[in-house]
Amino acid sequence: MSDFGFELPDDSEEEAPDWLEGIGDDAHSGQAPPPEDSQPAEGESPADDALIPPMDDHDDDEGPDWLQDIRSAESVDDDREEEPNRGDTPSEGDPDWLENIRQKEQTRQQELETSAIPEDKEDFETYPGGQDEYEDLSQPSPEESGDPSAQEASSPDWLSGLEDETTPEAAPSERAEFDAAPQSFDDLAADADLEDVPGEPPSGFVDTGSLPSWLVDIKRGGPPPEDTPPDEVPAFVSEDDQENILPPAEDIDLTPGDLPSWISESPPEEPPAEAQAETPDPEPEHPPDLARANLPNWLHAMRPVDIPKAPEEGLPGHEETLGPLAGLQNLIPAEPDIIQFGKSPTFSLKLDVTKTHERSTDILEQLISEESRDRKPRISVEAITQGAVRWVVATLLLLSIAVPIMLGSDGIELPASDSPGEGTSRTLELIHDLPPGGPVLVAFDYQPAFTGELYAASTAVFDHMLLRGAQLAIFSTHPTGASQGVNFLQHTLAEKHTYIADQLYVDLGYLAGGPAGLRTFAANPAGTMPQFFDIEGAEVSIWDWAPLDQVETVSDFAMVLVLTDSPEVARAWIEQVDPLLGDTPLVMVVSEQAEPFLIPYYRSEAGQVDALMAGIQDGAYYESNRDSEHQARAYWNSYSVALGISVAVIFLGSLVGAASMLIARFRRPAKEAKE
Amino acid sequence: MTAFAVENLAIFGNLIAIILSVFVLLYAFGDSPVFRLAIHIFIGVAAGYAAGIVWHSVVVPQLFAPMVALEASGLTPLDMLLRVVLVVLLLTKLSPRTARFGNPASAYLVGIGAAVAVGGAVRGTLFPLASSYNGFFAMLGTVATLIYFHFGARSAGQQPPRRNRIIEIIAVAGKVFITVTFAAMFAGVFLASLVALVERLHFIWTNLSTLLFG
Amino acid sequence: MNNLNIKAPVSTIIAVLVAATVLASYFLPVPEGIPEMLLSAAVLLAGVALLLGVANLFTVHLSKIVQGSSTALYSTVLLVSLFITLILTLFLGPKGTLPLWIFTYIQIPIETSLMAVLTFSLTFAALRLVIRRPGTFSLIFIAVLILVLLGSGPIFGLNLPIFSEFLSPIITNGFVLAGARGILLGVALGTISTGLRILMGADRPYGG
Repeated sequence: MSDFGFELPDDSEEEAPDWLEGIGDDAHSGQAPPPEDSQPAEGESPADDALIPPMDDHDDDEGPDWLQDIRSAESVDDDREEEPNRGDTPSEGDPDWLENIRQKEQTRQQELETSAIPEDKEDFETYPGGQDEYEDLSQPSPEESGDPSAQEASSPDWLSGLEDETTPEAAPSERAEFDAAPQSFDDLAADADLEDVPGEPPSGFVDTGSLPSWLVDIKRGGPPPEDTPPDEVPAFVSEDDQENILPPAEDIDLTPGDLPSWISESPPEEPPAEAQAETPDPEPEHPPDLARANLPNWLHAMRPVDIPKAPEEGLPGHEETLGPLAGLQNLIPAEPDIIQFGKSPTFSLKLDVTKTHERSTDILEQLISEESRDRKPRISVEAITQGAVRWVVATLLLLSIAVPIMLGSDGIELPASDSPGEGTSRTLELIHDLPPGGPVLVAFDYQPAFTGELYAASTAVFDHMLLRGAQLAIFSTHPTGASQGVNFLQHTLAEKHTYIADQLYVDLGYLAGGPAGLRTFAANPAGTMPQFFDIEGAEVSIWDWAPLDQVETVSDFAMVLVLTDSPEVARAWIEQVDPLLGDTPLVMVVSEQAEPFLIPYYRSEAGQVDALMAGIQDGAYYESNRDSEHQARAYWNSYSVALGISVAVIFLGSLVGAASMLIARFRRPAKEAKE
Repeated sequence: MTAFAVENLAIFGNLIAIILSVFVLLYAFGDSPVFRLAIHIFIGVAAGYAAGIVWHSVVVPQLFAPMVALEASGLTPLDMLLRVVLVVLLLTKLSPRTARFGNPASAYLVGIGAAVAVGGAVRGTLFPLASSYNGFFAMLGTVATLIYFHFGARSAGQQPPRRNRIIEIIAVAGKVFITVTFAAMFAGVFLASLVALVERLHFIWTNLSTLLFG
Repeated sequence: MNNLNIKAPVSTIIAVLVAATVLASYFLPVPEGIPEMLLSAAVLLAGVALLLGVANLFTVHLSKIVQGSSTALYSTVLLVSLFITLILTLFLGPKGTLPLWIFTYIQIPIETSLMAVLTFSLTFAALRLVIRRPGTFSLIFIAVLILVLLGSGPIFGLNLPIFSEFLSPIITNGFVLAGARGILLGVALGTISTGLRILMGADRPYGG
């Protein structure tokens, strides 16, 4: 059963045309003939007629019966065009259903004539079948009504194939959609809820008894289609008509007082659709003077003619407004919703702030404002105490050193000469055993910061060496070491000894590379540190000049004396040079801070360091033993006093700390006992 | 330079030295701008003087002089080529864009340093010190000190890893030896600094009195 | 230039070969001249490396001046000092009158004074040690410190032989000897393991 109220004949024996087979798989053969008016309605494509071959091109005996019926119907239509009242003269041989349709049309036309329908609405009225068709459609289909005889009688055979196209689920919705479609321009206006509709609907239209159910719904003010935009115009309405029918929405005044009376009437309760479907509407009367259109019913029925009602079931309605699919509903939109053009919605920037938020904001604002404020740091009692102690300690030390210096006394004696340290004694022996004029390699490998201490420790040693006639070759693995040596010899010992550069000592310069430099120097001193000096215009290698002319390796020196402040430098000398020294003694005069890590080398059975002197105390011992006064003597008084003050301060501070620690330990058990 | 100029230069120098020494010694009472000024002067002078010494003592005699007189320097052409190539590669470290080309020169220095360190440690420290016997007490202390630096421990389930009990006891003894050693080292540093302070004040007083009183 | 692709294997091979050759010369007879050649080149490279360090110092402080940092004035002073000293030393030599004057009357006084200031800091740290870190080993540390100081010279002119001739030698030749030897052996073992890792190419601190 088709959706349009027609029952198509079940002529399965006959072969359906290809075009009809394409419409549905289970299309019944023997399609119903096209409606009587086969002329295409306004706006229809002329190709629609091509689907039905003209009568003249075929013999009457060819083709299926339905096709012959169509042709015969066409010929009847052609004849009818010449007759003003074509519906009055039934043709012989017409099927009963066609006769019924014709009668209905005539009745309807008569009614229309009496209701004075405006002429500009002829387009709708002139299509073959017109209201009749819609009435038929509005009537419950014979299948739905459950009347098998009605099913067979009311539905043309040719429509039987069309019913396969529609799904059972969609069929009722489409039917309802079709029912809801307005059938006249008045209906359009009613749907759009427009006031300015040209012409008043004829009073005859209020008579709901002659109208299809869908039209009745509209007149009764039934709910408009859900997705029906009020301003949309059906596709078939020409542009000229649009201007007359649909004024701009902003011009519409929807105050209740301006609406037509029939709209403003309270709509009666809408009977359920099923009840509507069960109550057949009376057949409309056809105005006799309306010309019938040649558009087949089935084609026109398929055409989207009006603003459709949103389907009650299925997908939400989306009506296309542009392009060839304009007016169709339930289409998948061409553009996804996310790229719908138009003004983007504006959102309020007002935040929903709670009291908790406000409190947190206030606290944060306060914190940030405090950061930028200059705050003087709170000075704790402990910091004040520490600062005071620091000042006291510094003042004490400075005074303990400055006062003896300012007094200039030598009250404090040097250590006794009969009890020198082991290292000092050994150094004395080795220097005493130096061969006269023997080359002594002296390395000034200390930083300038330790100049004072090493001056105090080594002045007497140098004095002793020079008195023994040693010829010195000074160099350094520290960049400024050689300059310190020159300073030492020129300024410190010049008071007692006259040293002429390049005669009693040679300056070999700076040896880069640290341990690697010492390693290569020990193996090849002349190649590692080439030196030339100008003697009477001739360049002479320093290694060809006495005292270095006897030296090929480091073991050729009479003694190697290393002055250093660093245990690492001393270790490098011991590891890299000492293995190649052979019998040449290695004497080290070091800072007090390097002594602890050189004692193992000094005490080793291999005798890696032959003599070790450290600090001002060993220098004082050496001076005392040599009975000479040098830097150690000059510093000894201040050193002694400052040493005492330092020991006292450290002792007192540690005593206080130990006492507080013990008190805390005793208090802890008492606290724990209380708890 | 004349003796007069030299003498005046020395007097002026002593004055400068006194002022700079006072600037630095004021740090005993807190940081000050003059202290920072003195420090920055020192860094600039030390760096400039060291660079000049390196140029005169290393680069000129060991790179440029052999280029001019290869035979007199006693170097072979291979020797010279090696030096030139390595120096050029190392100079590429000046720019971050070319720094990676200096990696071979850095690798060369690292390889030499590692070899010298290993050879010296084995020959100069490990064998001589390990084979020396200075009494049972010294040997015990040496072993205890070495054991203190042994941190291998077994995990005991959920408890934290702990060393062997005997190792723990010996390690405590080693800690005592290490504490005493570092205390002696601290004393040495303190005495060195004390002598430096005495020397500085002695210098200031001596030269100030010479400047003021003649 | 990017396609030259100087990679780690080249540097690694250089480091390994050079290290193996020099180390072998410590224990094995090596063809004469090769270790000396390698070592003398290393000496030159070490000197050039020092010059690179000075150049880096120059660029760092120059950038501080250009960027106008808060220490730009001090950086300016530093660069001026460096420039003057370098020029004088390059043209007059390290033993020249002016360079030596700068070294004697500027560098030595400042550096010695820095060492002198250490006295106050060490004294202050020592007297607060037990307060800040109470414990047995802190007490041991302070006790040994005081004993060594008392044995380092006359206290207020008084010689104390019990400290200088008895206790101090016991500490030095007993505890310090053992402790220092253990530390030196540990350092040597660490040096050997690190050096061997470089020799094997496991460690590549030269940008490999």
